[in-house]
Amino acid sequence: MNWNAADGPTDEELIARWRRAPEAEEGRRAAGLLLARWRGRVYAWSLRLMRDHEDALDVAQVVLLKAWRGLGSFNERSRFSSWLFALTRNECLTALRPRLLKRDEAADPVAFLVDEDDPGRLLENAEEEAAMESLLRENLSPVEQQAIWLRCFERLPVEEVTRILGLTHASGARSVLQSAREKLRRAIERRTEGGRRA
Amino acid sequence: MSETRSGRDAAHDEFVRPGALPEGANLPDAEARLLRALERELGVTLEAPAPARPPRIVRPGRMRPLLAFAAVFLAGAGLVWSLGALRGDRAVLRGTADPRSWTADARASKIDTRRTRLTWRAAPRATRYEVTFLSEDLHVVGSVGDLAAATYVLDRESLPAGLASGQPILWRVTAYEGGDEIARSEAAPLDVP
Repeated sequence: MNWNAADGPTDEELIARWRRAPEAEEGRRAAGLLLARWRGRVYAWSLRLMRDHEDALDVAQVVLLKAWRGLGSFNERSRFSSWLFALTRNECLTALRPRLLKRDEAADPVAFLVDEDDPGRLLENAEEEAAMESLLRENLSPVEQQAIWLRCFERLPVEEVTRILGLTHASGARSVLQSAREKLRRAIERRTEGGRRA
Repeated sequence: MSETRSGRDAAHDEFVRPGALPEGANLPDAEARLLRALERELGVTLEAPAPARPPRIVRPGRMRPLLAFAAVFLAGAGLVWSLGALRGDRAVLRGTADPRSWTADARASKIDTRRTRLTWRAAPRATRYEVTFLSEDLHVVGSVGDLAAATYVLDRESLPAGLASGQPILWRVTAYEGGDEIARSEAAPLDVP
């Protein structure tokens, strides 16, 4: 599978072409080419979370149409891929919300970290997200940080986390997540105790 | 795996360069349907920018001389067969997915001294075509992808990269359904205008 979108104009060139004539056919075509070249990747990410072809297609379609309608809000100081990824992950989390609300908290390695039932809202809060990243960075190994992020914030299934991180031992990401959870639990306890003393 | 990248970076990398898809994935179907949705929404016809496939060139290793010989022999035999079968600048497309139902009538005809039109019959279920140009030793020298119609005009003023005017080459057309190759023609001779 070749996911390389490097052939032809760059994302930035297509966006510039669209900005020059957003209503004209040429502009719409440029935007269409841009979104079309990313459609497979939006679907792939959606499928990892939704676990169903039709559900993933529904989400991917919403993402692409929202991207089209919101293209004017894209800030070109960031990469287009980052912007589209943010849209994709948020749309996936929104679609997953009913399932997440029914989650088994005992099986969620980081459920104790958040009181928020809605991870989509959590991700929208940049300050909380930064604080969480800082907590992870200070207490976990790089692999543990990545595993926790992928599992708890991106909501990827454990087997996907195992694959992405290239974990080859029998328990895959499960043991890494377990270890990370324990470290985070201790870190939070230390913080709480420190706060009480102060 | 990088030891320094953050979880956020790992997620973004996976989005940009996806690994193996989960069970139940149907990427060609997804790509085709999403393309149609975009076309409807934007009110334009998009030439599917599905990724081009890398050329299938056999590169025999130095440690496998027999394999190298066989590859060269087969390539030469194929070329001889093609040139024999395609006299009159005419190619017969043979679908790899359903060869019985797709007999394309591929032609290269001069429009004038500057332009040559390549045409072929539309393949059943094909959503796009790619024309590949090969040197006489069957190495890919250029290509034009994402063609929605069963025709392409070679214009001396705007030749695809890798082609030079007057150059004797071979060409073939590959039909795709979404991201899947469904048929491919044999190589046919052509003089670049």
